[in-house]
Amino acid sequence: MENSLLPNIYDFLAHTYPFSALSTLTQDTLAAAVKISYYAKEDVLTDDQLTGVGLFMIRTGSCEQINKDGTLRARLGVGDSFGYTQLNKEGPSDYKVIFLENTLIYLLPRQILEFIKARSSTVSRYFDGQEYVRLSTAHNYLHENADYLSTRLQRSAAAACQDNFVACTPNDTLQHCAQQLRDTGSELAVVLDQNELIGVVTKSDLALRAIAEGMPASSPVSAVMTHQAVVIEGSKPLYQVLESMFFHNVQNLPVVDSGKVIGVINTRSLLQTSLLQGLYLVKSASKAQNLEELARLSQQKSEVFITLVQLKVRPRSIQRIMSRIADAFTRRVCALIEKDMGQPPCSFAFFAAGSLARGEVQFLSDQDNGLVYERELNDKESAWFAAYAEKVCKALDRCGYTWCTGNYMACNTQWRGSYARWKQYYAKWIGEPDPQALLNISVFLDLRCEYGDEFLITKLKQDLLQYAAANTRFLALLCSAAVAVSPPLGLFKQFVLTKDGENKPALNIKHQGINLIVELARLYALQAQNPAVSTYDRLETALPDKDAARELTEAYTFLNDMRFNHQYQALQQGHELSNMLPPSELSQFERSHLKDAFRIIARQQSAAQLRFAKGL
Amino acid sequence: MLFFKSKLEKLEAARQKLIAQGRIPAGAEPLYAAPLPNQNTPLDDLKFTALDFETTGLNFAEDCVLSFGGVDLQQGQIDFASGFHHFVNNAEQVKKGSAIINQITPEQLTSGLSPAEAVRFLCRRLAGSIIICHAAVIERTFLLKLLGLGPEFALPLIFLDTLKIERSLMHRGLRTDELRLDVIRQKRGLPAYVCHNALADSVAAAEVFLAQVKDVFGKGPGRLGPLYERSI
Repeated sequence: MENSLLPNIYDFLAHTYPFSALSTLTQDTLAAAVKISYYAKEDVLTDDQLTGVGLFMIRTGSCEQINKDGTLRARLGVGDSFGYTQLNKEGPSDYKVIFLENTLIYLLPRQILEFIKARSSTVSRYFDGQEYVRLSTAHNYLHENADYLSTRLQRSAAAACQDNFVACTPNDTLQHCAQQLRDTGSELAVVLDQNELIGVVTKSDLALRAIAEGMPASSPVSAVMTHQAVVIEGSKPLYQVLESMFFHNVQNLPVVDSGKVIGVINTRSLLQTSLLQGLYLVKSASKAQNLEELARLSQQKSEVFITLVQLKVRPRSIQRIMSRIADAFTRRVCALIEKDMGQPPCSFAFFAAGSLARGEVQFLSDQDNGLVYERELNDKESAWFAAYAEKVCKALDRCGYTWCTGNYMACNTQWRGSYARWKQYYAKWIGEPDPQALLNISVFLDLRCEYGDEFLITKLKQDLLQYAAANTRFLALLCSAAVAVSPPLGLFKQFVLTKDGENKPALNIKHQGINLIVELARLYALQAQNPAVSTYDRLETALPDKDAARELTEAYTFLNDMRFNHQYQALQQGHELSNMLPPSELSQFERSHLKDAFRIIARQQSAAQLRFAKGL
Repeated sequence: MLFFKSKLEKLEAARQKLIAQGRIPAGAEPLYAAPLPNQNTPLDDLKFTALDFETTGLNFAEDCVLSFGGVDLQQGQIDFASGFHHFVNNAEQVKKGSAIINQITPEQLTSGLSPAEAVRFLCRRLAGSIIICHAAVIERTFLLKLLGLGPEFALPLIFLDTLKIERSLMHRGLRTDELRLDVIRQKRGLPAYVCHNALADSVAAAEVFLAQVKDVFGKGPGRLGPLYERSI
């Protein structure tokens, strides 16, 4: 039968994920097997009307899924579907379906679904039944669309590196090394001792370390080389090369394969990608001569962010890169202002809290920070730090890291204190936890040194970890704070459906999604005395249940990906950026995957409650 | 009332009479093969076929069938896989203007079934089915015309008419233009069909029929009688 005869069914399938990913021919096969049925308002489907039947796709109308215990599972509208989790069951169903309106259903029978699943990995992964598998497909899906540039970024470092690199021994002379670099047009020489990499020498090392210091040309390269050089595995994709360059602020990397150097890779190898913009922004920020220059440079952040999203860089890398940029600005601001104000009264550290501490900065992040000095101060000394913190926070605001709405900033007297005072804070917060106070200070449960005496922060972090792990009541309260907000059940028509059946006009992707995962990850990390600060690292290393870690990671990636894509669109269209997403702006694809992410969060919240609540 | 036959019983009696007299119209034999259901037959025991004809016009004497399409419906489900659609090669009779209205090209028609093939296909395909049409008079009379029978001939085929059922469900009389298939669908919140052809229209009528069954019987089991009564 010609599909032009019934455009409705074909169009519907062609626009419904995952069938939209199928070839036209397969879609036609599928459409030919559709059965159409109609349910009146208040009709009910249950048990063997649902189990083993097929996929019910709502063409018009709406319905509710009600769990066995009577709680609402989801409310579904046009384009949503149900029944696939019941596909391989018999008899009793996990939920019943009650129609809210007269509803036209396109039913894909089980047999044809099995047939299509056997032919398409996209479809089979989608119907696998486990949310995290569906979310991982969503992720791949967003990345499969890779254009030329991002295809390049998927290439391995080994494939892109320069293999006629210069290798020296530690005793080769500087002159010999310089000649070799000239002759090969290289930026970097690796220093090998019996085939083992012991260091690297760059052109600028020769200029700045050797010539500037007046070293004779006959000196050995070992005198100027960088020991314990950062390297990259040949199998890693180019975007990880970039990430590593960002992280270590270098422009050349030796590429290794099972410990053996196989080539070098430098920024030129990556020039094709405008991703370099970000790297240069970090570089220029760390060299900026004054605050005006920094403020000017900070305007490039949005371009960097747009490029990262356009190139479909993984959300995790986007967060890291945006955080490296924020670090560069923060450090430079701190340094310039210190230079301006002269010698500080004593050793101190300016630290990042919240998302910057976790390395999870995104375009909307405001500043959360604090200041620790090594000892108690007299009034004059306090005044110095007050002035310093005020200037730093103001400068950060000028650089686009806006004033924190909760006033969690070093310019607030409360969040500026001696090491002893901060230690006391943590002892009190953790030792005598107060549920309301916990909400207010949770931002300080993540901290990372930005500037100054890192040791002060390391000690504070240790104190925090020790106090927290030993205090089950604190963990229990932190847990109940973390699960106080439930993720929505899903999206229904133009509304966000909350657990109590209420309809909200917009989804707050930060408060109703992303933060919930951040808090769970932190909770497990604190219990395990795990020093990791990034949510991804915490999920990977601190969760006892690997399956839970995997599904939360997928949910976290999906939510961030979605947030970045919406922010990107808002930036492109000149709209104001927000964490609020009206469901009308979400695609069917996003809606159905959001539901998976929400279910994962809800399940892991219950698991955490079971684990931590006994401390109360 | 015991001695009066229902309309369905009369139809069945007429079928048996023609068989007894050996006067079954040529080509219509498959339609006479099985007894007709009665008014108490549950809907779930029946097979339905939604049917639509595209014709050159509504004049029984002059106009002819351009294409036909249909789809089966059983136990409350429209089985899209059972769909059929054919053009009928009436090219020499086709008035030029009408084909353009129906978006059917002369090439499509000449590649279609001959009228004899069409009627053979239809009689086999419709045998044993209850027919669902929107404004069934068109399909019934043009089927008779294809069989070479007069417009008043009573074939042993049960036609359920979604137009008449819809009218019967309304509290007030409706103008004919309010009973057009697309208007009814819109009112019932069913998706608009962008394209008009015999198959799409038969599916459209079948969907309306499913909705009407819910209106007539509610949650209770449906029986043939009430729907047939509303279709006459």
